[in-house]
Amino acid sequence: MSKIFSVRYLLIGISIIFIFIMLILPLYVIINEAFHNGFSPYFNVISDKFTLHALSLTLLATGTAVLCNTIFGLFAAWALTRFQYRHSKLLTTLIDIPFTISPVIAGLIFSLTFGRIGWTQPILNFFHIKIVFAVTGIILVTIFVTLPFIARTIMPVLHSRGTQEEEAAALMGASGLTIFRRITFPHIKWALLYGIILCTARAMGEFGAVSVISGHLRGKTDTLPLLIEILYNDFKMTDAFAVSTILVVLAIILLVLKNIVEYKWHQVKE
Amino acid sequence: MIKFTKKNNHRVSIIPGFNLSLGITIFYISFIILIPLISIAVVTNGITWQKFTSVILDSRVIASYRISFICALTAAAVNCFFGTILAWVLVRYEFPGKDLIDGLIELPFAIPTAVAGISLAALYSPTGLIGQFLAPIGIKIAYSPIGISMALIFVTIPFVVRTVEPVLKNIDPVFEEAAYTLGAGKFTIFRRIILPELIPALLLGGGLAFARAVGEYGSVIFIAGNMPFKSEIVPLLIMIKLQQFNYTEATSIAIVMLLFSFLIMFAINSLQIYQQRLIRGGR
Amino acid sequence: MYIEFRNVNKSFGAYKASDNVNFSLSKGSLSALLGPSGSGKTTILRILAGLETPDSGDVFIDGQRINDTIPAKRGIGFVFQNYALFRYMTVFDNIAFGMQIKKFPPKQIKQRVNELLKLIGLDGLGGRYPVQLSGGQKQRTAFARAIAPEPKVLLLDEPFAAIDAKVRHDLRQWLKNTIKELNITSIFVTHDQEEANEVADEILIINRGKVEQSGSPISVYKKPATPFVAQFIGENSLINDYGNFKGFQFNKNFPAAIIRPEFISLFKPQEQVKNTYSAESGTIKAITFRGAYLEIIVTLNNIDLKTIWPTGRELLRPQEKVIVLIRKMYLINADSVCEIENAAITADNSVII
Repeated sequence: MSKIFSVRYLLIGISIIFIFIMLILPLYVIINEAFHNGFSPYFNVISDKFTLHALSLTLLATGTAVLCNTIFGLFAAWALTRFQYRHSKLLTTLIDIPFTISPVIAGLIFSLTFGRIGWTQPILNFFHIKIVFAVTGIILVTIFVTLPFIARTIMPVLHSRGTQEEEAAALMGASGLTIFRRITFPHIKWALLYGIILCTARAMGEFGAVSVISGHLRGKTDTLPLLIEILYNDFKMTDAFAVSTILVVLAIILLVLKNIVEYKWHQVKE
Repeated sequence: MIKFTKKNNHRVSIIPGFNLSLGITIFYISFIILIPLISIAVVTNGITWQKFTSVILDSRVIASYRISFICALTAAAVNCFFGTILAWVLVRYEFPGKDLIDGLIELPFAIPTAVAGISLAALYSPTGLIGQFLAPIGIKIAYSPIGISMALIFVTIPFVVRTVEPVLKNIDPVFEEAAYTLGAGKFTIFRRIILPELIPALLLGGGLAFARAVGEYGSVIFIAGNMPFKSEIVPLLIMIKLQQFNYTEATSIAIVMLLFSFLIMFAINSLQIYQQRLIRGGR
Repeated sequence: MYIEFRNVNKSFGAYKASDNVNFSLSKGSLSALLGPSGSGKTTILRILAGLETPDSGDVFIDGQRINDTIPAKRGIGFVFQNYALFRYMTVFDNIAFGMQIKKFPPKQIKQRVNELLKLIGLDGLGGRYPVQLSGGQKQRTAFARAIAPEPKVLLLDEPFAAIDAKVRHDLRQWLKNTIKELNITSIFVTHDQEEANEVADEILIINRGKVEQSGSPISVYKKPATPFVAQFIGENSLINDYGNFKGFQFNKNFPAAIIRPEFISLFKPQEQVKNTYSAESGTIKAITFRGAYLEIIVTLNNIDLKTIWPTGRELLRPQEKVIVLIRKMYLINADSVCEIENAAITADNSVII
C-alpha cells in the first residue's frame, strides 16, 4: 500500500508545484512590482486621470459587449435549439468563428472593413461615423471577440432539455415572452450568468484586437490593457504593474463569482 | 442562396418566436462576423497571386510560422501532461487546498493577457524572481522561444484540465477493479485501461489549447523579445505590417493563418462530436 | 359527430404517417388509438392538437373545421408522454398555468386548482416540485394541468408508458373513472392492447398510417375486419398448412390462417369428448403458469398452437398426449379475412340429431 500512497503524494505534489509556479508566482510578481515604490506612488498611479479614463473606457466596452452579446446569445440559443431547420449547424459553426481566429486578425478585419482603406469608408464618411481609431471600433471588436461565450454556454443546456415544456405551454396559449420568462429562463439562469462572467472576463482583458483598432491615442482610445502596454514600453514598469492590479482585482472577483455560480448551478442539476 | 426554411419534413414547431429569433441571429452574425470577414476577400482582390506567394513565402514570415507553430505545439503538449495529472488529482484525491486549486484553474481565462505578459516577463527576465536563478546556469527563458512557450502554457492551462476531468469522472471504476482482480498493477491499469479512454479528450483539449496558442498575442509579446527569425510570432508580424500601414502584406499573412485556424476548427468540431458521445456513455 | 377526420394525409419525406385517415368520434367518448410503434397513431393525435399540420384533408371539432385554428384556440388539453411538467414550477403553478394564460380570475384559479388537487389525490402537495413526485403523481399532475382550463377535448400520448407495472393498473382504472365522471371527450394513444381494451369505449386500430378498424373492444376482437387486425389483436397462432387439420379444407385464395387460443379445446384422453370425429390427438410441448390459467403450446401435425388450460382442472404435463378440437379459425390473405367453422363439428352435430 505504501507504494500507492507515494504515487498519490507525488501527483498531488506535482500539481501543487505546477499551480504555484504557473499561477501563484505571476500573481505575486504583479503585486510585488506594483508596490515596489511603496503605497503612495501606487495610489498616485491608479488615481491618475489617464488610468481612470482607461478604466472607464474598459468598463464601457465591456458593458456594451456583454449587453449586446447577452441579447444576441438569448435569441441565438432560442433560434438554434427550439426549432429544427436546415443549416442550423452552419449557423452554430459561424458563431464559433471568433473563438478560432487570432485577436490580431479580428482587429485586422475590422480595420479592413471600417478603416481608411475599407470599402465602407464612403458610407461612414457620409454619416460622419468614425470606427477605426475610435471608441466605436474598440466596442465592435470587443463584441466580436466575445460573441460566442453566452450563446455557447446556454445552448447545450437548452439542447439537452428538449422542447416539450415549451410545447406544452404554447399549446395552452402562452405567448413567446411568457414561455421564455416562466418556462425557459429558470432553466438557463445559471448558465446565462456563467456565460456573462466568462464574457466579461474576456472583454475586459481583450488586448490584441483592441490594440489593432484603437490607434493608441492616450487619454482617448486606450483601455486598461493598452495603457499597461504603453507604460511598460515606456519603461514605467512599476506604473504598468500598478495599473495591472486593477485588472487583477476585477479578474479575481470574476473568478470567485464564477466558482459561486458553478457551485449553485451544480446544486440545481443534482 | 441558402434558405433558412424549417424542415417541412419535420415537426412544425408551435413554439413562437422562430422568425424573430432567427432574424436577429442572422442579422447579428452577418454584421459582426460575416461582413468583416468578407472584407478580406475585398482586399485580396487587389493582390496578385505572385505578390501573395512572395509575401507568405518570405523567409522572415516562414520563420515566424515555424516559431508560432512549434511554441504552440510545445505548450499544448506540456499542458496535456500536467493537465492530465491535475485532472487526475482533482477527480481522484481529497486533500486540503483542493478546492483552491480547482478554483484557480480558470485564472488564466480571467487575467487579461497583457497583465499575464508583463508579469511573466518580469518573472523570467534575467533579473526576475525565477530568471535570476536560471541566468547563471545559462538558461534563458525571457526573450527566447522558451519564454513564448511559457506564456502560451500559462494562457492555455484550463483547456486540457477541463476536458479531461468529465471523462475521468465518467470512467466506471468497475473496469479498473476488473483489471485489478486480473492482477494488473496501478501503472498498467492507467496505461491500458484509463489512458485509451482519455485520448480523445486529450486530443480535444490539446487541440483547443493549440488553436488558442497559435493566435495568442498579448501575453507573448512582452516576454518574446520579438527578434525577427528568432522569437517573432505570426500575430506580431501581422501587427508590425499593420503599423507600417502595409495592409496587403498583413492580409496575405492573415489569410494563411485563417485557413489554418479553420482547419483546426474543423478537426476540433469532429472530435467534439465524438467526445460528447463518450461522455453520454453511448459507445 | 364531435371529432372528425376527413381524408387526412401527412407525409414525412417518403414515409406516409397518415394515409387518407377517416374517422369520427362522438361527444363524451373515450377512445384509444391502438397500433404498433411507427404506425402513425401519435401523428393523428398531434394533428388534432395542432402540433403537426396535415398535408391535405380536414379536421373538425364540434362541427368546426380547425385546420387553420392555432393550437391554443382549439380547446384541447394535451398530456405528453413524458408529462412535460414545468420543472421549475410547483404542482400548484403547473396546474394553474393554463388558467393564468387564459386570464381566469385568481380566486377562481385557486379554487379550481384546489379542487383538482383533491381529485388527483395530491391534496396538500401543491407546493411540491415535479422532481419530488412519484411517476403516478406526475402523471396525475399532467392530467390535472391538461383539464384545468376546461378543454373540449383531452388528448393523452401513451399516458401509461413511463409508469411501472404495479401502479399502471390502478392508474388506468382511476383515469377511466375520472374521465367518465368529468364527461370529457378523450383520445389516448397506446401500443398496448390490454390497456386499450381496459380503458377505452372505442378503439381505432392504426397500421401504416391507416385506420384499419374501429369499434368497441369486444366487437373488434370478435370480428376483425382486416388481416392486420386479426393478427394484431389477441394472442394468436399464425399457420400456413391449415388444410391438414380435421374439418378444414385448404382454400387457395387464403394462404394463411389465424387461430385464437379460445378457438381450441383440449381434453385428456380419458375424458369424454362430444365431437369425437372432429378431434385429433396432439402433444403438449410447453406449459407456462399464468395464475388462473396455464398457457399451453400443443403440437398437432407438427404445428405449434397456443391455447389455455384452467389451473383448476387436473394439471397437464409436458409431453402428455391430449385430444385437440379446433372449433374455428380466421383465414387471411393480403386484404381480407374470412371466419370459418370446423366443418366436421357441423357434420357431427347433424349426425347426432
